[in-house]
Amino acid sequence: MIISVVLLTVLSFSQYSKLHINPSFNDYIPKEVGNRANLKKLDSIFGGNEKLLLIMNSDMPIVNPESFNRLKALTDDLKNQEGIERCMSLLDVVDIKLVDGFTEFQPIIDEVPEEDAERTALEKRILGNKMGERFLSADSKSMAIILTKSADVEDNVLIPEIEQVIQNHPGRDKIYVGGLSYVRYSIKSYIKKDLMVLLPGALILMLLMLYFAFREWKGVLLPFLVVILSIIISFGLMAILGWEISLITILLPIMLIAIANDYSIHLINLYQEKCERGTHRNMKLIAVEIYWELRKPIFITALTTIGGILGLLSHKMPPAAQLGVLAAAGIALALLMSLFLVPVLLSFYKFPSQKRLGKVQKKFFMSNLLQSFAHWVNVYPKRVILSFVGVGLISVVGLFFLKVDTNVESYFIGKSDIKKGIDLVNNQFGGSQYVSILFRGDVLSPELLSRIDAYTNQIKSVPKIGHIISPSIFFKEMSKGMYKPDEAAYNALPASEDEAIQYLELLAMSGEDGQVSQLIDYNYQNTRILVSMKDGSNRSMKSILSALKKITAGDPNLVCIAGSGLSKIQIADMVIQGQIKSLIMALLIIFVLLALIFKSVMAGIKGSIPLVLSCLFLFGLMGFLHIPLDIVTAMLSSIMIGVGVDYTIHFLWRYKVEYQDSGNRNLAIENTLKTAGRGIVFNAFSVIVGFSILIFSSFAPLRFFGVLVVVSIFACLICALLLIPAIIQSTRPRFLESDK
Amino acid sequence: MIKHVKKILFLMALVFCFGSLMAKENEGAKELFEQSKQKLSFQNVHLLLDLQTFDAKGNSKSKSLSVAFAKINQEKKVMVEILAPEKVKGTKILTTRYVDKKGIIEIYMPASGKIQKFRASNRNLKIMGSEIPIAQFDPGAEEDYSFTLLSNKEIDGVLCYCIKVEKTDEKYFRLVYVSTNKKELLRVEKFDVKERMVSVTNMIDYMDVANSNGKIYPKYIEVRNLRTGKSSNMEVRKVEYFNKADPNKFQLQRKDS
Repeated sequence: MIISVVLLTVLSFSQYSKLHINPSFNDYIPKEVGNRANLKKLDSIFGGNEKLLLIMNSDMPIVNPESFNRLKALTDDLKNQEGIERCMSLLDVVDIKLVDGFTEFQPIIDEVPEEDAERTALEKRILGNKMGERFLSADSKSMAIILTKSADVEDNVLIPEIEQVIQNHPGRDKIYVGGLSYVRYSIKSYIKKDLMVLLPGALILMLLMLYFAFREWKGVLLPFLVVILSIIISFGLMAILGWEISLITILLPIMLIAIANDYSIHLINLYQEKCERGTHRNMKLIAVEIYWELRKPIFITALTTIGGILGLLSHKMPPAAQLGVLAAAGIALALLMSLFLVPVLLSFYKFPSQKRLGKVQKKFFMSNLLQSFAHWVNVYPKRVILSFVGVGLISVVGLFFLKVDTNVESYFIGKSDIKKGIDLVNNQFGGSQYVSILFRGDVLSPELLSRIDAYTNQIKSVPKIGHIISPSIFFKEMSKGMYKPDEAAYNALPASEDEAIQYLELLAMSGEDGQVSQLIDYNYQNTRILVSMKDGSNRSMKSILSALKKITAGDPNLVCIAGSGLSKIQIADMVIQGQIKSLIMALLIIFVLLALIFKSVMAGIKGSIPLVLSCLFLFGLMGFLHIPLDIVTAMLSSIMIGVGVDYTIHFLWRYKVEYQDSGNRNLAIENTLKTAGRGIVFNAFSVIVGFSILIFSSFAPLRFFGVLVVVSIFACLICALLLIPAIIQSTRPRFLESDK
Repeated sequence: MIKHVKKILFLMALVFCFGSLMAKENEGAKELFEQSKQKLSFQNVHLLLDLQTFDAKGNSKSKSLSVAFAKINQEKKVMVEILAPEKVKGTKILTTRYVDKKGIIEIYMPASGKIQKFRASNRNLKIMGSEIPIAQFDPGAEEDYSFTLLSNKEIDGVLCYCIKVEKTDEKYFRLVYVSTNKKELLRVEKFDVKERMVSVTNMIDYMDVANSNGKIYPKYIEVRNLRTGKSSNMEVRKVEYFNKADPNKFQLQRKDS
């Protein structure tokens, strides 16, 4: 047994080189339909769609000689950087005007004036220029370099290179980076950094908690060994199957920490009970006895947990289904190791000395509380149930406040640079998430250009819109270099398709066609309006998308509305649908298994009530605390189902045994709380104390995750220790008492 | 002390000799470059050419152009007229370089009937929709540049002089390749300040211009912009030499005039 576990562990380790992290959202959604398919279409016409913004920020006016020279040096290098399709800055903004009969495409800035008054006038000119306003903040303290990322370049290749360029050109101004690909890259490093510090901290706290509970090291090491081995082997399986570590599958170790130590904790708990009773002093005999007594409940809890977790297979997102398979495999391994490895290892230990036994037998810190639970449940079972119903009803109210948000920008909190960068980009530069409204056909015909102009004007009034880059704005600016202000064609659209083409050819001739190439394609068959969003939350994006659809409804040339940020709406819908489906599936599986195990439909119903209530409590609390349901938090219910069903079955099984022994319901409940309840409390508290450390993370998903794991486990614990015995006391279920 | 003075004098003599050698060499570089350009027919010549341009994705556009070079009253003129496609047909670009003042570029756009004027100092200006700089057709475009002869290099099997052409106030420099045997301009490579190549122009298959007193013109000109991924291929279909330029043919007229 030991040899096979060692071999399996070594084999798993050897596969780790194949593992890699993929924090991308887009990979979770189908390629062929919806936003992702439209993005592909846009990429094939205009190149990359994702923007990265480098914000140079200063306490003083940013248009100064030093910053300007740094801007020139940075853009010079960035333009030559592989993986960057376009690099636009103030240096690319041209003032198109007619001076003394000559058309001038003058760069809006080629040097910074010394005089304050002249500099202020230049700032005004930039902010008044339709193409220039998106490169300078309204307070003139920040300027932006807008990069368009090639569709085929990886974030982890491009971002370090951009950071290197920034390092190569140091300066007084602080440079912040914004944009989805930078956010994705940062998520990766934040997860790594926080998990490197916080996860070991969580494990140490968990071990200390277990030691505090069992007062002997084998009570700590054996459950810990089972957890660690099941995590190692599950990740090995992930590598063998060629699956990636995603934002969802990263939850695997956390699920296994919460669930996989459960079985061995109950074994240790029973071993200590037996030592305390003193019927045997032989460790081998004790090991055999605890195996025989707990093999059935442990097998049943593992089976129901695996069943519940496999409910994730109904999820549309592949990583969620992968998490289901891997967690189920990890739990199955934990089951085997708990049943066969832990008793074997336990049998190698010496029977504890009298001194150690005394230490172990020290009063359990929650004995009084469990005694009180037994009293409340036995005396006031209906009040206890009513209290739970009350909490359930309040939680239902909370559900109405629950929002789904898959916006990765909201993952960062506090005063971190990434957070400041995101805020600067959204508040001062109209956001980095762009939506394209794509038109196809005679895109330079006066009819379509006038419609585009009308749409552009209407879009300006849509709330939370940042900048609009439209072909109509561009042509109007162009006309200022062709006509005098008193001419009708000044600041107007071209009168004919030929005129529009000739404008474009003229621009291409002057070498200033960089900006227009992102709006009108090479052969003048496609054009688009680019709209940036100040707020990337799902709610804002949904309302903006619906406004854009309404504005452009019925346009015969409209092809699609798409944007890299819009994929999250599709993901959010998948999260909700997947979560509802997998929850229903998990509850159904657990109901069927409980009904089969206890040979009673009522067992299925009553055993599932704590799970339903815990889920309600979790999601209700998320609603009240404004914690959004996202890819990560949505998966929490799976952990809860795994943990909740374990606690419920352990309690029911032990109660059945205690009732058979005593024939007294009150006594059976009291004894069950003192024995199995003790194991449940140890298990729950070790996880709660361990994961509470995640609350100190500066990365919102990890912080929320910490809060929610604590809440979920606590809900399961309270349901197992109060609600289940109260239901038993008031309904006297026959499936638990019929044997007597 | 005398020993030191001797040493210094000797070093100064060395520097002087090396400097004058360098100066001669650089003078030679300029001469070579000008010689290669003078061989090109830039005066009293009319070209009919096809231009094909490509973007980074491989999309292409075709144009047919008529290009004429002339010198009228000390003014060097280049007239480019677009013959096809239909939507830009009739567009004319006239570049005029004066002896005593900055040159101008005038563009007649048939759709608006207007003539747009630009300052010729804009070195970004290219042949409409192509990567080919208008300066390519301008014989005096390198007047105020400095020239350095670098070591010879083979271009497509032909041994070439390599000449560095630069100007202190410009962000770019060029390496120009002139064949050692025929003194033909074969390639121009443009580099940025960090010596990264920005574009390459190849002049292929030179042909004689009839009645032009030994002038030549390349049959093909290929330009690749390495930054944008755009490229242009120009094929000269016909070259004609004319003895006297008609000033009326080197003037633009508004539609309403």
